Amino acid sequence: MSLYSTVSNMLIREGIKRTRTNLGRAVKENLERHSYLRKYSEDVKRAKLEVAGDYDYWIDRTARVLEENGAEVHLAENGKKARELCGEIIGRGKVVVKGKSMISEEIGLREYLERLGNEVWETDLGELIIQLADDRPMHVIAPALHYTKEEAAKVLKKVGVDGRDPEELVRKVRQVMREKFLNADAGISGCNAISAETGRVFLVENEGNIRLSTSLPKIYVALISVDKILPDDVLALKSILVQSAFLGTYPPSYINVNLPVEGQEFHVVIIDNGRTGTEFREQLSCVKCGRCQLECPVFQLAGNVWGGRVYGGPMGMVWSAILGELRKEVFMCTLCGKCRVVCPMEIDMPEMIRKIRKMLLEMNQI
Amino acid sequence: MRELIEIFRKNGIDVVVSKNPEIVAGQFEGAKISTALSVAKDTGVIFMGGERERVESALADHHVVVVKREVIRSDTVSAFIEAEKKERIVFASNSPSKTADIEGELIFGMHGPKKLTVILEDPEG
Repeated sequence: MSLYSTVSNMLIREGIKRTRTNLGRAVKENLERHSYLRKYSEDVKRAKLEVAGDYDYWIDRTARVLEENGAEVHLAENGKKARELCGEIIGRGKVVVKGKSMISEEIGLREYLERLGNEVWETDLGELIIQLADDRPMHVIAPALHYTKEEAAKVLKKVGVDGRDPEELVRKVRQVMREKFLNADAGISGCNAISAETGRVFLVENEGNIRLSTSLPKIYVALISVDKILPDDVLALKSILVQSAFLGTYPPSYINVNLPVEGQEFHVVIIDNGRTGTEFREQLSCVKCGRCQLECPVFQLAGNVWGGRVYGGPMGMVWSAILGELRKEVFMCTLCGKCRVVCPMEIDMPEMIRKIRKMLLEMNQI
Repeated sequence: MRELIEIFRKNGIDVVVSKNPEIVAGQFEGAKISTALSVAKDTGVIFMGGERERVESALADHHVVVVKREVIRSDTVSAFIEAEKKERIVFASNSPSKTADIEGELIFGMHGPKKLTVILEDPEG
């Protein structure tokens, strides 16, 4: 999709506006009712930056505790290695159920596993719509915000779901997916936070798809980018609470705390992909709540076209740089600073965007 | 107590208050019955434990949770610490399963329980 077609696409604009209004109101209320969240944000940012200051130590510690728990730990320095490792674990001709995960988008996992001949199901409703439409997530939390009821209904017909309104669509998708959960060979999830103290993998969600995807199949793979490591359980819990409050659902319907259990192969793929060596270290404290995307005046018009291949908006510009992709669209940023103000971690994205501009200019890319 | 009931309701939970929560729980035929390991008073987060409990409660259409007075803690972090002391596998279910992925319209019963009921112990009944 080109920038010009996006700007004139009212569905994207209205979807972002609606999501911003709904979630913005919820976030405001969460912060008013739960004043400790600001303090939690500070604790989490400090801890994440401490971990980022010595990733070698923390990755080693996390891997060790996971192995002691009975998990099989795999280390991947880049996205290619990560998806190949997942391919080796899962194999071919399998049914795979997936929770929504940005790291899996980052490493192109679904497409890769499909190419190997697996049947891969996105189980989050919004992400399923995106998968079936062969689209990409518009927003980290609300991937299908740019689909109307009618369009969602049309897309879902591809899997035999025939419904007139969201209620009926939900009821029928539940039936289709229930059968997939019960018969899946493998489940895949991302990770919102992992404790280096106990190896507990924390995942928040509202639909219940992550709980089913990670506890029913005999093989479970957790994708963990190194920025999700927190020193202990309490900090990991604080991190998911901050993320939930800022993404607009507090408390989240479900808090999953995954550990290896009897009868399930529990794999963890720890993924670096540009993080340990980056000069954009502050961004590694990001909890991916998507606030900065919705509040960004450029994103409000351009959607995820303003961003990188995977992540849109201000966070997307910096995350793309971490992944080695410097986007010339950074010059469209107004430097209004709103992203930093609404960020739970108060990450100085405008400063990093200036730095990306400087790098591009020095490389004569503009 | 009244505040916690309000928070549960705000989270989309049906609340029943009883002197004998276990007896009341037995009256919900066909529902999955669990007992809370701990509950956070300020958020309504409900921790439960055990691997089978996790799967069975996720698959149920109706999940009923007994909350004893003594498991109520001031906040989510304290509730988590309490729960992990009691069980190795812990998890929290704080509302019925829900989604707002189509035009932001909130719909209950996506993949997990369509209904979540809490039976809260109150000695006064």
